[in-house]
Amino acid sequence: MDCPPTHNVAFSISTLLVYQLHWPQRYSPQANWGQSLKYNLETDEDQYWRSLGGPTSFENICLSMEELVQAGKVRGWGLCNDNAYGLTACTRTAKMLGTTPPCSIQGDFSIIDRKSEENGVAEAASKYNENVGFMAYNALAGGMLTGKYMEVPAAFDDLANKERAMKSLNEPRGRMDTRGWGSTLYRYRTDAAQQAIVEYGKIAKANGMSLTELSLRWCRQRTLLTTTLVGHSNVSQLKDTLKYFAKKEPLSEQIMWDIDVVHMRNRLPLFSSNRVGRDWLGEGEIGESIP
Amino acid sequence: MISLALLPFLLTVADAFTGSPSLNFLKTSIIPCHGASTLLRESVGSTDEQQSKVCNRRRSLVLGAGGGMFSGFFNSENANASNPDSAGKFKSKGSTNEIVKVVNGIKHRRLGGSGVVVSEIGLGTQRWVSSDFNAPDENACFGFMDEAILKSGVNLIDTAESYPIPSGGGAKEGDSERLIGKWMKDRKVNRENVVIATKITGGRNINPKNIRANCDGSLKRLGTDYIDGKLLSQESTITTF
Repeated sequence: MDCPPTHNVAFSISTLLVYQLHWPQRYSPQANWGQSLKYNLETDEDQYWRSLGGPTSFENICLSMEELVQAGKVRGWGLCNDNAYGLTACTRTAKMLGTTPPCSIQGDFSIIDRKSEENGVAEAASKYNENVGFMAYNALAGGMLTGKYMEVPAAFDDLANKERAMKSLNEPRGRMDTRGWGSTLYRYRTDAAQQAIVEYGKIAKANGMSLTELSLRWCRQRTLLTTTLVGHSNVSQLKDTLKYFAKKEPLSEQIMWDIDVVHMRNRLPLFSSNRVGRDWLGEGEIGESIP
Repeated sequence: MISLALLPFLLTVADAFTGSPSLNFLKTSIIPCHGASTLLRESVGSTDEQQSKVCNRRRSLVLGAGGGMFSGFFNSENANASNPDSAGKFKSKGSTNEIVKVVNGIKHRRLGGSGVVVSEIGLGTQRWVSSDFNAPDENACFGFMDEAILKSGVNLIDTAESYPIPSGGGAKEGDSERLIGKWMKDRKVNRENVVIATKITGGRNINPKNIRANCDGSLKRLGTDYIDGKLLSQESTITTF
């Protein structure tokens, strides 16, 4: 075994840091945040993106990240909220420059948001192509996949029952009942999403497990995913998650099939809306410009 | 059947992990593997996955033989066409998502072609010590990391320089990173055993100057001035993944 490195070196390699771009340097449809899937040229022409010579080039990103790698400050770098274009542009630019390519891409992903498997990200990330890992976030769809909003809807979806909605607001069960997150996370509560959640809840129940367990174990079995990031509000939630991830048995082929059948009814439930209006700067509640 | 070629590799992993005083109660279980050494990448897997993998392997061996027979018909330059690592200095350490080890029942997979290996469940930290009504406080977050990282097989924490969200009031941006740094220092955690993924704020904020400066800022908040040289030397083999 080699001798311990000198202190200077030890300082720099003491942390296994993966440094990610929180969202792309350029304009790209922020589909991960429930906004438009459609690339809008007018948005890209805006001075915010075009000033100062436009967004930082892929070359400069790769070279800057390589500097951090060479200095021993990071072990790898990656992308978040990006798409197959950004991913492949980074890996191919790194290859051309001879620098370290990104090792990961992170995105919104859950049993009700499978778009990354179907929009080219999974293909680009595959070990046979760009060989990049995938980190899933919001695997429980902001709490919707715990089932806790199934019987009594989130405050903002419960306007028909004002008294109950006020009660939910005053005694929130989670983020969905609060004013800030309640509207930010609307994408997980579209009619299509809620219909799918009910169906997945039935599958979970029929198989003697909670919807949370079904949702997390489903993630674990997707070939795209390297890891699933889960947030918790208390340690008992965390213990449940750890229990599911330590289970040896995969979900059966029948369960996976039953889930696929529901998925086929609407493959993009987060991007559907029955509540589109002209009231919000011509956008729907989902924040997407009306095509 | 355990491939002989694989044994030294497995022992290195086991040694590296059990050698850590701060984490020596973590049991690294290396599961028995099947398959020939040429299939090394796939041969470390859970028992559940083995059945299907054995089948897949047989299938791919058959297809592989066919491919060899007909390869003359195809453009031979195709061999490395889709390998992004074939040029330049960077050498891939392996295939993304391959299971490298299992710790306390939790699989650890390679992240891209890098030497970083992460547990297939990671801790999300966006709301840690945030201004949310039900945000976990510092004490609760220390409990999460104790439970997941020290007592279970998790090694990944995902954060960002802009976390917690929402901030405001007593909660300010950067607190999530500070909290993680504080915990590692408090629990004397060997940093080689924890993977921290953090993020530079996106959009026009991303430029060479900020990538440099903001990374230094994150490292500072994560407290990299803390170092345990003794542990580091014992763990240095792990970087060979």
